[in-house]
Amino acid sequence: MAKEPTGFEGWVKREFLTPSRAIFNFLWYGTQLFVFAYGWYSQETNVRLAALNGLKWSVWVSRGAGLVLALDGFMILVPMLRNIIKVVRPKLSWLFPADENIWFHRQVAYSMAFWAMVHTTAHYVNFINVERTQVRQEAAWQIHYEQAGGITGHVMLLIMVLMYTTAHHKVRAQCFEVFWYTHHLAFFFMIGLYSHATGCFVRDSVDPDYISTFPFYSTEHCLGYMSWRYTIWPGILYFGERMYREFRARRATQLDKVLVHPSGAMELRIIKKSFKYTAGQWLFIQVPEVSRYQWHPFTITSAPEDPYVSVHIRQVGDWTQALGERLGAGPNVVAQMTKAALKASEKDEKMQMGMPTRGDFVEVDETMNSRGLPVVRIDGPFGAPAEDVFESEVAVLVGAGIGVTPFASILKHIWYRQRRGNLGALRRVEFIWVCRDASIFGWFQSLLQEIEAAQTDPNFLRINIYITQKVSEDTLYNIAVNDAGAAYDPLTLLRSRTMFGRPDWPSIFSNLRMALEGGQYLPGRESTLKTRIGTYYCGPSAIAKALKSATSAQNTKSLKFTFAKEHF
Amino acid sequence: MGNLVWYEWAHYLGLTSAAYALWAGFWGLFFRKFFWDMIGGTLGPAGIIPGPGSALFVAVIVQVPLVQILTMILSVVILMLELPPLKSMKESFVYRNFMFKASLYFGLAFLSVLFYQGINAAIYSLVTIFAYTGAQLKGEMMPEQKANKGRGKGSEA
Repeated sequence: MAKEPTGFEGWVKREFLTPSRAIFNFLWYGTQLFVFAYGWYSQETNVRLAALNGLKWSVWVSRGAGLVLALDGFMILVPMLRNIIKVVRPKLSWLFPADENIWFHRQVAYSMAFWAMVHTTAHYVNFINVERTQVRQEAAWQIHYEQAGGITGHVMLLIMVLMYTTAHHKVRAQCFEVFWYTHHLAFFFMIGLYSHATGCFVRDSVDPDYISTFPFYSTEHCLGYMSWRYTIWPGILYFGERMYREFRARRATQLDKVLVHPSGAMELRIIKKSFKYTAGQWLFIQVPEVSRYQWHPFTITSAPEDPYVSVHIRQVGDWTQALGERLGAGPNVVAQMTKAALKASEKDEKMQMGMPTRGDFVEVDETMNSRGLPVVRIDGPFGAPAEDVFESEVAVLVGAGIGVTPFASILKHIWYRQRRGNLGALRRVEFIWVCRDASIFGWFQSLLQEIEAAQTDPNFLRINIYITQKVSEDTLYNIAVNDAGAAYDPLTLLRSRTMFGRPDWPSIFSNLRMALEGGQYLPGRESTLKTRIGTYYCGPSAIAKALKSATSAQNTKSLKFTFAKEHF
Repeated sequence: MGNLVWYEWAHYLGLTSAAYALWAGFWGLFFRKFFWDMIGGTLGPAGIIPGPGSALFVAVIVQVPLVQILTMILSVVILMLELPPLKSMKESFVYRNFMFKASLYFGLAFLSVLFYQGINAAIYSLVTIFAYTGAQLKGEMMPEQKANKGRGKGSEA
């Protein structure tokens, strides 16, 4: 695996030597500097604001930074308009990476923190100078704590401190709820942003020129940027999206079945007629009985062709455990079932439908649970790049760890379309699954088994599984004894053999390129036409980097390697 | 629900408070003002004329920026404590003792609430104290403290 340079060198390489990132940085920071300069200039040259300009550089800086903050206040919500992004994504995916919306949200937030620092610092100088020069008959503390601009500004700063500190990735991972609830302070932050200038601080009159009609100050003498007229639109759209989400979530939804897989995963099968999705997308789920307000994201594991929507939930966090308890399949029950299933599989790997299995899933029925199944609400679906799988001739699907879940839906969906003979451009699928220990994802294994068994064309789907965990000596002997001559892999019970260690991405992709160029991989491939090899990845970002460089290294005139990463 | 690690959150709050206080103290050197001078003061042609009760504070903030300098020193000390540059600091008790840290933030709040630029730093320090107190009340321990169990030097009695 190519080692990414770290430290300063890595930073330079990442931010400036990657063309797309360099263009982004140039546009994003360039725009901000330009807006800052314009704000400065328009204040300094405005003759009507001559009195304020007596404060010199501090007022120019504060006005410039204020205009950049208006831009940031506009942009901060844009990447969060999930439903709108989902609509425009297919049309604009060439222009900007719509799946990096959270990343962009963070970049806006960083900028906002910086410019807020500049703006606030400058205003502290402004107000003390207003007091000293008495250009207006007021004291600094009155501007800070008696006027709209000061009050909303200080409140917004405090909200920012709370939101930023709880949004740190460590806190978010430890306790998503704290992040989630604190981030709703954004509502008050936005109100503060829109009303920040209502105090009419920027004026050419002696006193604020208030009027009795909206927006309660006259634009004749209050000469602010009136930026709320622009910044409010993403706010309104976002509010609309949240309302729409609430409406959509309230439409008839029924939890149809709960299945517990021997590996401990619960499969929730939900029926919701109004819910339309494509493979590889994810949804938010809410169970009011477990937690009144929380929405939790899960990958959809059913294919759009299935009559239900399913998600697989492992009981790892407190919400998922509470859900398990409520469904009558708490951790204890699951542990017992897992043990029983493992015991059964040790005794005899029973042959079912010609396939060995590790015990069946169990449906949670009324007897296990006197209260019946709880009400669930789902919201979504939300996007993922894997919708584009059918546009490339060769799809390389890479799932690492828990990131394998979206591929359940995608593989099922491919299988359905294969049966209908409607595969689009897709000719071959390489599925690569990297994980420490495959047994946690027992349900996924059984799914893979079904799909593998259903293949008629032996070349269409290739499954490659890499186990990165250190294998104990006993297991090693066990594998060696069981593997030789057996039709199925002893660990995964698939026909495909398991590999051990980390995959060597550059050689995987160069082999793929050579096979394609040699003509045996895709017989009849026209070397004059471009062949698209799409790599779709979901999992930790360390592997994403390695994959990205490995794929882009293989681009030739007739072979186009693309890479897309899915986020949670 | 949730399992918030309070000292982790307090750590980020503390970094914010101390960084803000450092910046505020720096600007306080150039624009010196006792924030509470409106109490007993009157608004004159060149700003507030402090009342007689403010004389002491005017002496240590406006005449000599002592409070601002102390704030800056304390914030640097706190920043070093939150992000220890030396391994020995990371192993010392001051790094992992929440109430000791909270007392430092109390000092920071006390100093920064006095001068014009420091009010927000004081408020954020109070939030930090709240978070560290939460960590203490929940009986949280930093990994360094857990590792230290049973090999302390206080066993010679």
